[in-house]
Amino acid sequence: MIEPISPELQKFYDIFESVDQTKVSDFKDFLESNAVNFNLFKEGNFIERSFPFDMIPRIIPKAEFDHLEAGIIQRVKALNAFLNDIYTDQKIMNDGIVPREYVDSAKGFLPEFMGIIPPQAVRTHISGIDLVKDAVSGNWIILEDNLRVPSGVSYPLTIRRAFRHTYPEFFESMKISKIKHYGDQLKAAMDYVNTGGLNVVLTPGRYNSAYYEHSYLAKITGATLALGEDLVVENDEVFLLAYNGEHLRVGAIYRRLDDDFLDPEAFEPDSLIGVRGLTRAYRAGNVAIMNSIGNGVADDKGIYYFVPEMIKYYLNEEPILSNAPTYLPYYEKDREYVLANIDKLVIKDVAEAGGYGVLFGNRLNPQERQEIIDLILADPRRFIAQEVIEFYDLPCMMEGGIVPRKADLRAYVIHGDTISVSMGGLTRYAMEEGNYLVNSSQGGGFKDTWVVEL
Amino acid sequence: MNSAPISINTAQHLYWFGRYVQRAQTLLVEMLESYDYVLDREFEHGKKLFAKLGIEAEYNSGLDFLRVGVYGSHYGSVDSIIKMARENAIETRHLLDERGFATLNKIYNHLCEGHDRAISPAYLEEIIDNCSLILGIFSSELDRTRAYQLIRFGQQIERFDLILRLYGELDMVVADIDVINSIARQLNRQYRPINVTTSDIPKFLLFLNGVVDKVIHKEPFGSLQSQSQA
Repeated sequence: MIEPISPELQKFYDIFESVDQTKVSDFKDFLESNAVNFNLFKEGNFIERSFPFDMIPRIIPKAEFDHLEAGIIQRVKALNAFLNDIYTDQKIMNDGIVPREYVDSAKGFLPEFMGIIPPQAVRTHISGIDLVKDAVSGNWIILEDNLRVPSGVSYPLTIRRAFRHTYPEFFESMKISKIKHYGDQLKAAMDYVNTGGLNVVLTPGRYNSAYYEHSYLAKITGATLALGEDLVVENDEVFLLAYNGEHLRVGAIYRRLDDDFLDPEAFEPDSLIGVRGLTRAYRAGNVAIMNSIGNGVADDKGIYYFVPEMIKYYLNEEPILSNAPTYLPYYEKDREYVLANIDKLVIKDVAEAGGYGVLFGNRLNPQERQEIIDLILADPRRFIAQEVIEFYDLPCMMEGGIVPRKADLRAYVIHGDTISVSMGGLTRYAMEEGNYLVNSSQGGGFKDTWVVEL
Repeated sequence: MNSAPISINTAQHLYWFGRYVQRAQTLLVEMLESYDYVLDREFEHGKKLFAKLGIEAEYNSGLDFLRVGVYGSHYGSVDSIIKMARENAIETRHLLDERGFATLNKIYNHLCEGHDRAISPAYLEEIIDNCSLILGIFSSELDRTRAYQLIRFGQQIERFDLILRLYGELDMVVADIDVINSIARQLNRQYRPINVTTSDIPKFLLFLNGVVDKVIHKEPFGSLQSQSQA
């Protein structure tokens, strides 16, 4: 179902009627000329491709976004408190709010990092909170919390500039919230936790699907873009190997690689993209790592289930935004329900991301159905099940007309001295009608997101 | 403009970006010169040009000469030089002017799309103009960032290299050696100005490589070895 046209969206359409519509193709030219890519690996091949873009923005009325913003900030605050707690006192587990076995068995929980308090006690420096708008209730629902290395923010930031150049008419006539401060906010967050030295964006390199973003973020924050081999750890301090032979101390690293590859000394020993000894420097408090090591536990789809409880526990507040109705097969009662109703549920592998490990029960053939049942029975902790949310389609300019496509919203949150939500975000849409998987890594496209006040 | 310290890898990529763009531009200019000869004065002139660059290539007409120069299956083709320039630009785009990056990327996209297209002198002139635009952006006297200096450094080294390979004119290089000294000094305070004391061109080319190593330290270096040998 397509979202009803709000007065704000109507205003967009009205202006669009009056502008030169042939200039829509300028966006494609812009993205191709500037190699604004989200690259894909398919069957072992690296495919460089522009990120498909649809020019009709998702428009969120300001008052509606204010509500979202409050709910997202509340959520990130609670998640940061949760991470600080489980890596120190574990009060929430001791009090039985989150079952100990659920944390202990989370793939992203790293008990070897217990007791380490990162600079300024911030762990969720940059979060990507995925939401959809439920077509039944009209409410925004949280689908996922991405607290490790959420990507995508560079695309709306990049296209917004192109939009302003191509169609200034919208910006002259509509009150659209600005997002250009993101770079300053990210830099401020880096400075806030910096232990003395350079700010660095650590990238796995040019063949990473989000490399465009890594270079973009280095550009807008003024940080040094570095590969793992550009950094060295000496006496538990991190240094950049500068081209002129100097070793320059690094105080904050916005890493764009997962924990597993971060330090061959502590994690995957064969990692060629990490920095040997980095975790020693982190433990010694000599460098801030953004996001913190071990955040994967809060990213775990099983832990997601408990976030509303965390909000009550840490903040003594009622959650402003709701989770999708979720079942944990780990619990017998939920397991029975899931197995009996698998045809109408979505099954998700808790440790997967990017749209991988997601199965829609109603699309499984009998053999696939049995296979997933067997997997759930063998390892119930590995899965969650959710009711299918009939979220809104958005209008997309495709196939020579305007067609409906499922779309979500990733909101970006920066946690520095304060917590702030970027006044827009990345709207991702599926390329095919009826497809619920909108992830970029599944071939989806993106829209800009405008927060508009009439 | 990002003026943060630059890693060894990034510095190498900036340096090679400057070299490859300069190489593409010079080669195209030389090809257009040769094209006139190939048409009606000296059919073998294009082969001589290729030979100076260590390339063996055959062609059967003036336009075929241009096609071989642009798309030939040899390391000195314009297509492969632009591809290398673009790879280095992708690696360093956070430090590059957006217009310069986009101009190079457009040349690359056109070349990728045009494999089956006939090559015309006008098309090559267009690429030359765009290479000049790119180099002009990074040669702006107003911009003294280290990133741009590294590009200029690569550009100058490539100029020297090409002058020696194409014309064998060591005097032309010696006259400009202070340009290299000046950029190198700005890039690395440890750098000591050099004088040319040899008249042997191969020796001088080796000497130039030594100058580069004094400005950009070599470790880590893994991803760039094949490039520096090209």
